[in-house]
Amino acid sequence: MARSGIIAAVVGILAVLLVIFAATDREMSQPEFLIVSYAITAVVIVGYIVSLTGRLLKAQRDEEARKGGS
Amino acid sequence: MLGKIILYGVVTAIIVVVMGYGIRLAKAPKEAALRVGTIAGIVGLVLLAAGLYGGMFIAPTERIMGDVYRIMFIHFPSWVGTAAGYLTAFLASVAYIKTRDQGYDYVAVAGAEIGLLFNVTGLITGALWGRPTWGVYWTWDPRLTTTAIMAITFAGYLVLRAFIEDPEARARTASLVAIVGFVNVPIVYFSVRWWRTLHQVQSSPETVDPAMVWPLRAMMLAFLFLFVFMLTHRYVLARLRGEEELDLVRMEVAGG
Repeated sequence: MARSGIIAAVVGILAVLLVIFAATDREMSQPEFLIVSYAITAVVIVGYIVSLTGRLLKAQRDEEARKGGS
Repeated sequence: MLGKIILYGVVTAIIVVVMGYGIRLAKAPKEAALRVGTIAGIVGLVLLAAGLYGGMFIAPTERIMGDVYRIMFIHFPSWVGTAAGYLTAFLASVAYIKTRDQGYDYVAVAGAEIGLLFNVTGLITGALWGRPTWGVYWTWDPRLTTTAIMAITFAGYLVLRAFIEDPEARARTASLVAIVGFVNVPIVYFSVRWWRTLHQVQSSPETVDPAMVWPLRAMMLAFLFLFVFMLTHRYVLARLRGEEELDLVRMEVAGG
């Protein structure tokens, strides 16, 4: 996994943990909707960044291989 | 009044800078683009931390909706990211049609893909906010319907690209789809004013607690900076794959 992808995954997990902590510690009303919203958003965005940085890393390696081979 | 002028001035300046940068990407060296993207990503993370903390711990509970309104801190920024993505795709597509420079096509596909990503998070968070406040996850309200059409249009744009092999034909056709598809974006924005149904009209910062306003602005900016991070990386990926495609064509031509 690319470095940016790892950072995105860690930040995403921390963000969701923060929301869970805030929702439970402050006894928020209807916390399930809040937590699920933030969790799904984090999964979608982090998933995309992990996939994007992974694809980019592969494309950069392919370019190096192409240049090395030509 | 002066505060409002400054606010709108700053917002306009940010949009112009982001959009201007997005279009200029087509001419930028890959390494420089990635460097700017990484800096934008770091700034985005700092703003995200501040906005999330403010939204969860400082912003007060809303009088009618309770705490579920805090979905707003990701719902509205998702639409900012959507608008930025589709506007980038639109402007880059117009630039491509005008110049036939393949670089603009790479920017357009990056903008459309990231716009769709935020479009999806906007729809999901909207549905999850709608259930406790409206009683339903989904209804065929004009705002919801037009945003769903917008997502389908740009998903179609990406699918269409996968079916056309010739890079020039692909860029030309996709540009036309992006330009036509963008017509829906202002319709989405004004839908809540033209057809007054379930979805509320845009709120004014003057009618809500200031402690709710700054975390929302921080989150909006955070999403905008994350958009720049993703745009630059997706642009470089498109450029690398495009160059690879051209190399293959050249090799085929050279090989007879």
